[in-house]
Amino acid sequence: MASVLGKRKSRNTELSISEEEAQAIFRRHFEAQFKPLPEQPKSNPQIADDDLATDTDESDDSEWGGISDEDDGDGSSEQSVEVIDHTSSNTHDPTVSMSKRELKAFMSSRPPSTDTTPSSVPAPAEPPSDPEDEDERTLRAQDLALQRLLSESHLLASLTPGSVHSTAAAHKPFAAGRLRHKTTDLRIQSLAGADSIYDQKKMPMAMRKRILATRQARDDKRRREAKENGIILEHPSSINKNKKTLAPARPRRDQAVDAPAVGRLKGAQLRLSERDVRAIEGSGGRDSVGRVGPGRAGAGKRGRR
Amino acid sequence: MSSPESLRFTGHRSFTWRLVLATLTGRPVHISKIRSSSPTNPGLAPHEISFLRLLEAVTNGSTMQISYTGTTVTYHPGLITGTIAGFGASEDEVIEHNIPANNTRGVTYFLMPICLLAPFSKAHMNVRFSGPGVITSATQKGDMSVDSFRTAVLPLFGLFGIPPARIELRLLQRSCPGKGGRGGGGIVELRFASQVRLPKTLHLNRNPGRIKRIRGVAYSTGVSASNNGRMIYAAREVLNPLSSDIHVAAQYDQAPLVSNPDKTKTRTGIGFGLSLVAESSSAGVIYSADVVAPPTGGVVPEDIGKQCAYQLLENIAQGGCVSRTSAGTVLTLMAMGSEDMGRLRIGRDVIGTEEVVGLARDLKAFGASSWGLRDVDEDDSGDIIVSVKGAGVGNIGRKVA
Repeated sequence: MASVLGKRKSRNTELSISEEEAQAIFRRHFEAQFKPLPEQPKSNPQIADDDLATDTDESDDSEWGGISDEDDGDGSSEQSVEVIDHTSSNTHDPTVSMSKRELKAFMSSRPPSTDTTPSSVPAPAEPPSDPEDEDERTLRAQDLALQRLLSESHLLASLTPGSVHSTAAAHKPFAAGRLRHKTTDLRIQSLAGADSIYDQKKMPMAMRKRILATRQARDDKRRREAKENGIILEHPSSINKNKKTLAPARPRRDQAVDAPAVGRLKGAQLRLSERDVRAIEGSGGRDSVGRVGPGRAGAGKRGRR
Repeated sequence: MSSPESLRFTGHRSFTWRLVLATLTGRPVHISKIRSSSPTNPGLAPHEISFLRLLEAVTNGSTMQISYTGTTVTYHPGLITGTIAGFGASEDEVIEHNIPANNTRGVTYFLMPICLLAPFSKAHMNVRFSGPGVITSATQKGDMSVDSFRTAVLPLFGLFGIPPARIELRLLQRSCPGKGGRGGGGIVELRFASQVRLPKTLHLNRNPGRIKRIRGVAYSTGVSASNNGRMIYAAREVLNPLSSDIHVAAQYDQAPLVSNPDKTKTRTGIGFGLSLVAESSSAGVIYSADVVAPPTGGVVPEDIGKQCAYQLLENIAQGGCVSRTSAGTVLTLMAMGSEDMGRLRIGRDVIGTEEVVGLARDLKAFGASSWGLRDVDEDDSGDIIVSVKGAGVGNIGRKVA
C-alpha cells in the first residue's frame, strides 16, 4: 500500500517521478509499437522509493544473488555451527539407554543370550561330516543315505551299461537326466504317498495288467536274486504300498453317520443280535464264554468313524 | 548298601560347596567345629540351616544330624530328585522354600549350589524362594545379586552343554537387605529344566579377548527411583571413555510387605544397588560386579555407581576367562564333567583366593583328581591355565532312567 501511496504522491509532484515508473512508461510505449519485452525481475517496491538503494540492489540481483544473502546475513549472523561433544558423558541420558526390545530381552527371566555364543560355539564343536564319528546324528544320516541308495539302486542298475539289468534306455542321450527325474519322483512318492507322475492314467486294462505283472515279476526276480547272492535290498513295503498291488489288510466299510452304536436299525426298529446283547450285558463282568465284556464289546463292535 | 567312610571337615567355611560336592559324589560328610570358638553365635547360622532344609527338599533319602550345640553336622546324601509331584512340590510343580527372617545372606547363596545340583537331578529343579528372609540384591557379606547371577553365571552353563534357554530365574519381588542386614521379603523362582547326563568338557584356554559390551541393572527398592539414574550416571562417567556399548537398565520396585509374627505388616528390604556385567569378544567370558547400599544407609547413589564401575574394572583387570564370583561354579562343573581333561584360563589373583584354593582341596578330599597348573606363555598376562580332569560322576538319576 505504501508503494501505491508513494506512487500517488509522485504522480502529484511530476518532478520527482521515479526511475521505475519512467521505465514502465517507456516499456508500455515500446510494447505498443513492437513485440512484448521479456519479463525482468521486479525489484522490491519498498526499496524502490530510495533511489540509491534501488540502483545497487538491482545490479546485485541481476548478476549474482550471493551478495544480497551476505548483505542481509547481518540479521542471521547468530546461526552458528552446532557442536556435539561425544567425549563427555553429559550428553547421555541414562534413562533411555536401551531400546525397548533389548530391555525386554535383558530383563526377562531367562539368562540373556549372547549373540556370539550360538554362532561361534557350534562351529568348532561340530565338524559337520565326519563319517568315522559314531554319533547318533551321523548314524541316522548314514542310515537314511543307505536306505535311499537301496531304494534307488534299481534305477542305477538299469542305467549302468555293463549291468544285466541294463536296458536300451541306458544308451540313449540324456539318460542321466531321466534318472534324476525318476529319482526325484521316487522320493516324492515316499514322502507324500502320492502316485507317480510317470504312471499313465488311461490305458487298456489288459495292457495295465500286463505292465503291473511284468513289474511285479521283475521285482520278485530282483529280490530273489538278491536274496540268493546275499545282497540287502530296501524294505519291500514302500514299493508295494505305492503300487497298490496288494489289497489293504482290512477293507474299511462305509458306515452311515446316523447308524446306532449298538445293534442295527431297520425301518424304525432297533434290532439287537445275540452278540450285541451279550456285549451290553457283559460290560460289568464276564460273558458266557468267559472273556471280559468291554474288551469283547469293543472288538466285536464295528467302530463308528 | 554299605555306606562309605564319611569325610571329615572342620569349620564353617565353604559349607555349601562341601555339601554340594557330597551330594554330587555321594560321599557322606562330617563337619565339626562350626563356629565352636564363638561365644555368642556358636554352631550353624540360620542360612546354613535353611540350606540343609533345601537340600532335604530337593533330594530323596538324604539324612542329616545336627549336634545339640549345632557345631557338628553329619550329612548322608541321597539322590538328587529335583521337583517331583507329590514329594513336597506344590500344585504348580514348584518346591516352596521359606527362608527365615533372621537370614543375612542373599538368595544367591542358595541359588548357586542349587544350580550346581540341578543339571544332575532326575527331574526338573523348580524351587521358589519366599518368606521374610529372601534378599535378592547383593549383600555386604559378598553375595552377588540375582541380576548378576542371571546375566553372568547362568550363561556359563551353556559352555557345558547345559542350555541356558531352559533355565528360568523369575524375580517376582525384589528386596534389599532389611534392618541390620537381616531379612528381605523378596520372591525368586528358579526353573531349571535342562538336565544332562554328563557336562561337556570345557576348553576355555584361549585369550579372554576385549570387552565388547557392558550391561547392567540398577535397582531401587522402596526408595526414590531417581537413585537409579544417579547410579547409572556415575557408573557411566567412569566407563564411557572405555567402552562404547554400555546399557544399564533401571528397575524400581515397591518395598516388599512382610507380615510379622504379631499380625502386623511392615515394609522391609529398602535400598538400592547396581549390578554390572561386561561381556568379552571371546565367547563365554563374562565379568560382573555388584555393589549395594548398606542397610544402615548414609551412602549417596553416585558413590555406589562409581564403586561398582571400579569393581567391574578391577575384575576385568584380574584377567582370565572367569571372574572370582563364577570361578567356583565353572571349576566344580568341570570336575564333575566327563572323564577328560578340561582347560580353563584363570587370572592369577582369581585362583589365589581362599575360596578357589579351598575348593581345590575339598575336591581332592572328595576323590577328584588334582588340578594341573601352568603359566600362559602366549602372552605376558600372567594368567594360569588350570587343567581339570572330570570325575565322570554325571547324573545318576539319568543313568538309571
